[in-house]
Amino acid sequence: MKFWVLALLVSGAISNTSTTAAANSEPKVAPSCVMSEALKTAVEGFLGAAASVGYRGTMLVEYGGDREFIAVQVDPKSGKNDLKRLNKSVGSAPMGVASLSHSPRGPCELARYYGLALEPGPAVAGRATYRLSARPRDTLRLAYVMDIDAEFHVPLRVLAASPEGQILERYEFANIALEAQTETVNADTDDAAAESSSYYLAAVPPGFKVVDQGRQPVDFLVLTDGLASVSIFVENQPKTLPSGEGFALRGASLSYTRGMAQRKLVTVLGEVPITTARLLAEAIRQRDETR
Amino acid sequence: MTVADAIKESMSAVIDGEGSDLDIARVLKAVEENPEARVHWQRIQQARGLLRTGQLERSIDVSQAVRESLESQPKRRQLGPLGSLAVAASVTFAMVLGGQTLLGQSPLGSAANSIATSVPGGVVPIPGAAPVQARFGAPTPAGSSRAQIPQTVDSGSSAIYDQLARERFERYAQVHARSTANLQPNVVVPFARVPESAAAQ
Repeated sequence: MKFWVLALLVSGAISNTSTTAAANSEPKVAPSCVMSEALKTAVEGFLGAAASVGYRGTMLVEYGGDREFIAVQVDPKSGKNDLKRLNKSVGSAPMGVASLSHSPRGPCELARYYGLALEPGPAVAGRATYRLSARPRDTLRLAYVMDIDAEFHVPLRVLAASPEGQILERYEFANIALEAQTETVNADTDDAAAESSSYYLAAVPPGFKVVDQGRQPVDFLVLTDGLASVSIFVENQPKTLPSGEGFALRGASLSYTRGMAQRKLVTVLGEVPITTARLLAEAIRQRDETR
Repeated sequence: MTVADAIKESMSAVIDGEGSDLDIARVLKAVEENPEARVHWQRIQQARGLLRTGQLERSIDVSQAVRESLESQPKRRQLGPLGSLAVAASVTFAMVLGGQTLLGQSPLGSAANSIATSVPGGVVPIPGAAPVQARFGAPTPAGSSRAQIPQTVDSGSSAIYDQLARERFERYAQVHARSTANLQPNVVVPFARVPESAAAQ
């Protein structure tokens, strides 16, 4: 009886997803939300641009005390993207980067966990923008201020901040050439994820959903709330290592490592506050695979 | 909104490590909904720290009290999913409160550097990476504190774990970027965050 009372009381703070697919079992019904047409159009444009707009340009990325210029080329049609660090070496070849594709969340889903606001933006890289602000409604995710291209809806300047407003990371295009692409073919899709991890989450922070999992290089789970994303890696803990926890930060990315009593070393890596990382590490459970 | 006597009694029970599941749930709910309850909760922790140490503790590990409460109770049964849920919620809640209570104590900026050089092993420091404060919200490298790390963890193992967190960042940042780049505002920036040495692997 007590546990039922507890469950009712904490249900607003944590969603229970003790099943294998964890958060994949979220209700399919679209959440109701009140949003202006202009805001809805802006958010939909931003969410859809990643799969439909190619671009080439130079951007400045700042994280903590570090800053670097990188040349980027993004081609959603082929799924092949390039990155070149302009301050690191001379004449080096661009580094190809490929990523898994995921279905984006809708504006209403984002609005459940972020306060979204739209206003005119400044010119960035010589282009007109609108400013889309996403402020978290709780303390489990970061805040974003994005100046988004008014025509192609690609974010040209993005600032990530802690829930208290501390700036963690900023990047901005110095120049950019954009191109709409109608046919997009990505090599990898989230459907391709085959192998289940040996671990699952007994509880998932509200709004987050498991979108990928596997066992290579070690057991891992990947979650997102539509803007924030986080990966959890689980490995065996050396016997000589006492239980404990530690942290490292690079820009908006946090690495949180924790030695569990079950002799497991859990690393939570992602663009989330430490509160969320700790919660996720706490909720990791090993499957009973003997059945 | 005032704090009901029943809530105060539950808070006292929890902080004394004698709280029941219902006490914990009651405190969770009250603190979440009632700012005065939140203030009262912080005050009684400070008072308890004052009595125990003779000093006003600025850094109070709220999670410790909740954990003590949970751990000191007899093992009534194996916790099921709901029990686990409640424990996770308690700890999260405690971290939230603890973070709100905490102010920076000993600056870790210099400590971070000494940690980086004192731990043996083939560790490659990540540019811009630093141990961060275990506090509510996003971690803050500057002026951070270890106050919220469970007190069962000594500073030596904390330093080791900070180092492990850096190493794991190097090891897994590329995997994380590949899995999540399409979920982030820019598809390339997650790869830019990957340290160059790790990206070349």
